[in-house]
Amino acid sequence: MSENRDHVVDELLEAVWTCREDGQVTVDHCLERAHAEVGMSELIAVQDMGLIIIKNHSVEFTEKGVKRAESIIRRHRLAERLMVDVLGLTSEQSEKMACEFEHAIVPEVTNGICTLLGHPKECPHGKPIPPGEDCKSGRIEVTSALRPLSQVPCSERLLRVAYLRTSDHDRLHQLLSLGFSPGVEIRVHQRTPVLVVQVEQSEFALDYEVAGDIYVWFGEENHR
Amino acid sequence: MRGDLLGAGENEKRYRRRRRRRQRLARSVRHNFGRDTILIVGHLKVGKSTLFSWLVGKKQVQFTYPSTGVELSQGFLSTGKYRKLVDAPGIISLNDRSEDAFVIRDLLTRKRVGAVLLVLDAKNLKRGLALAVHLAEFELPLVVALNMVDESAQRGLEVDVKRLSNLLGVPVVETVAVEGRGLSQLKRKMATPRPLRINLEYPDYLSGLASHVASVLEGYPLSARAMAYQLVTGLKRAYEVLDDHVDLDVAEKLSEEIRQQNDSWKTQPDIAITKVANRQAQNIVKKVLKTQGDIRTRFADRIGIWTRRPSTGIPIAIVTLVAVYVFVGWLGATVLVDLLEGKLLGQVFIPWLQGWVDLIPESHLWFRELITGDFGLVTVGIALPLGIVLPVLATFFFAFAVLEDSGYLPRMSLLLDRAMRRIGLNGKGLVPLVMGLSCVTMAVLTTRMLDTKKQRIIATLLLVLTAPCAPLLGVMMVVLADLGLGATILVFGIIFLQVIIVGMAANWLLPGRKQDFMLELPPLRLPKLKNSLSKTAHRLYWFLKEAIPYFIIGTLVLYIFQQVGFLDVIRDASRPVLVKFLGLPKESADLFLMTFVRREAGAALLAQQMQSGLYDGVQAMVALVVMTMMMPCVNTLLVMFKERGIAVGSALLVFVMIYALLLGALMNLVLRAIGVEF
Repeated sequence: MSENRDHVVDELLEAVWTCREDGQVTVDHCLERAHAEVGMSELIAVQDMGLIIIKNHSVEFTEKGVKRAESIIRRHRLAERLMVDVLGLTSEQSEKMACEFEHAIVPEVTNGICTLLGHPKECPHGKPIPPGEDCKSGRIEVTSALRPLSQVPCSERLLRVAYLRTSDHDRLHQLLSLGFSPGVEIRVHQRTPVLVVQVEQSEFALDYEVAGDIYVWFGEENHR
Repeated sequence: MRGDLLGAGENEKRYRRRRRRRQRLARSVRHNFGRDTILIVGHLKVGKSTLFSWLVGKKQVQFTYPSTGVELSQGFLSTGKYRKLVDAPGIISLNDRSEDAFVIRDLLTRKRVGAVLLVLDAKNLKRGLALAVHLAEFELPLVVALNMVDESAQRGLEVDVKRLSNLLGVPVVETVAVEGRGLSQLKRKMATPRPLRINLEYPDYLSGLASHVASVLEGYPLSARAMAYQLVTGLKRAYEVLDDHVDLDVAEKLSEEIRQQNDSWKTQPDIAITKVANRQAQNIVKKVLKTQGDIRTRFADRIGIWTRRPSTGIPIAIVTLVAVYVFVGWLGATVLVDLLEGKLLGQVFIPWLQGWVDLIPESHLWFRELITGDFGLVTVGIALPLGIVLPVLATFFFAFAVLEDSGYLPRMSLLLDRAMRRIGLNGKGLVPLVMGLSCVTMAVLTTRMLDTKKQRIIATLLLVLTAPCAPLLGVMMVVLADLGLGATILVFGIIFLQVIIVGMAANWLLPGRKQDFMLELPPLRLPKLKNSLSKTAHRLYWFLKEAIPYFIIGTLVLYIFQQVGFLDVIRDASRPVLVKFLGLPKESADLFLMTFVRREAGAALLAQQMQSGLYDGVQAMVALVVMTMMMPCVNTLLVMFKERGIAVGSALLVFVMIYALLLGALMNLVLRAIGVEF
């Protein structure tokens, strides 16, 4: 399955990145370092995707490859920090969970975690975390939090949607179709008797139960 | 999934079903569709119908899509190789489970139309373009109308139309439908629709399956990619189309393959596809949308804010309702009715006609009676609808059109959401209920927009029981104008109280879960007089065309009953109920007979009978309430049975009739006991 393949590609890119940090980018090192069951054929497949170049038994990233590897490493190490700092796991436990976690989070959430953790520079093992765009743009390190839309006061502030938490399929589909997708910026105009929310140029009335399923980043705007 | 539904030996049945459906469809399809037809597609409230009206003019026909209840409008285009234009209802998305979306997919997949006119709201380009991305899978040539460019400009948004047209590969025309701007250009471009240059980029885990399904279906007389899109998305009704056009074994194998894959998917395909299309749309928006700094807050926007805040909104709502009441109740029901029925018909036309009729010899008295008698075709059959109903209806339709065009109604829904929940509905339920004050039949049809069965039943019950439709409401106002403001408040108060009592009881009794409330609030705009007037004229035309025959038939029936003496028999027979139970004069039997034919005809007859002093105040009020609540008109009955089914429909009808009689009797007792007089 292709989802599985993405998984393998990510693992290989991750291995190449860490080998590069150690300065040993031979094919053998890279294969050994990878967390998945992989061999030469997978490595060549990744080369065919235009992500790496294999030359004289050593591996180099292409420009596309670096970007993707950087993103996956960033997710992995931020996940580790989250486990250790916030959830209080040991770094060994965190390592294993982070491997799962890194595949599951979308870019919006990655940046959110980064902001939440105050833009950490290193992972619990002391390795550097590649900075995201928010970190580069010099956003002041702050703590930020997710809140359901039903608990957000009304103001002219733009709030970014983090995710939709709902098991109700029809509700999810309808919200997405109306434009409430993760990453979109919305405003809360009114709270009684129901919420009035602006998405792009449309206003919607939502009841509290529906609004409770829309989680937004709350607080980051103060520090922009 | 579907495989489970089909036991052995079901194939034969399916074949027969398929044939029946085909025949039924073929008939309607020949009439209304074809390769020379353009279908209008767009989200809710983007101005599709306004554009449609401008494009085809007054010659419009409404019809329902076979084996669904979806109403479509059709009109003719004067130029180009496309001759017909069909307006479909607005949708939220192309891949949702609503019946409206199904009809649109069905038309496109089976290639029943030749091209699509996609109407987008320029203010909400991203959402509109997401729809375009979905539409790309249906492989039909397309023209895009970028509507409401005036409102988007006010919001500081500017769309690079040329670039957008290049990216999509189709003609894009800027329009302002309410003003008719950009229409001649749109008409020109509609002669040359082009296929979209974009494709839906399926998420990785679906793309293989989608292309596989499409390749299997290549060569059948339907759009292979559209079919693949629907099957992969998990839209079950797509199998109906598959069954109709594809060999059974192929269809069987495909559905099995999809079912197997389905089990291994983590994300629901329709959710994943919606996300992908949104992202693709966002990428296009980035390239074509320019935002300027200066955003003018329109005065209308400020009023828009006032209308949705409870502190200002509730007073505004009350003022609005009073204004509508004054406009319809005073101008329509008093001034115009006086003018038309009292002066023009009563003092000029009918005396003049009477002069001629009196020339008919005494021996043909029956013929005199037929024309100008108690139940004469002219004095009742024509004078009632034209003299009493028409003026009131004209003012009501106009007021309603203004409210509709202004975008005010959803704001009222918002304010009333909580109150509506008490009676088992929510803010959305306001729309059918308010529609019920226009036409109960249409309103019962719109209960489809409600999401749960419980809500649809409650809404239908409240509509059939309590809502006086515009014609009836108008005549009620004529009657009540004679009785005074106190009686008016009392009658409407009693009816309104029933909405609360019956609604709360039904909410408590019927099982069902609570429904989400998500409603788009369109910006408030000043309605264009011309549009509201033409809407009013259109609705009046349909009313007269439909209602006058009923009035004439009703009058004719009463006339014949009177001539053969049957009327007295009925009057005597219904005496126990009407006279004893409800305290009405025995002539009121005529009203109820007429009411069976058409509700406002009964009420109009009441207005006439009242002039001869047959009723006192209490009797008139009881008659009005019972008439309003007891009997839905023939059309409403048909629609109710069709929408709710025979069982629920019959239950509702029996309940409504008994409830109305009991309430009438109670009213009579109480009002007499406390000695109310009007």
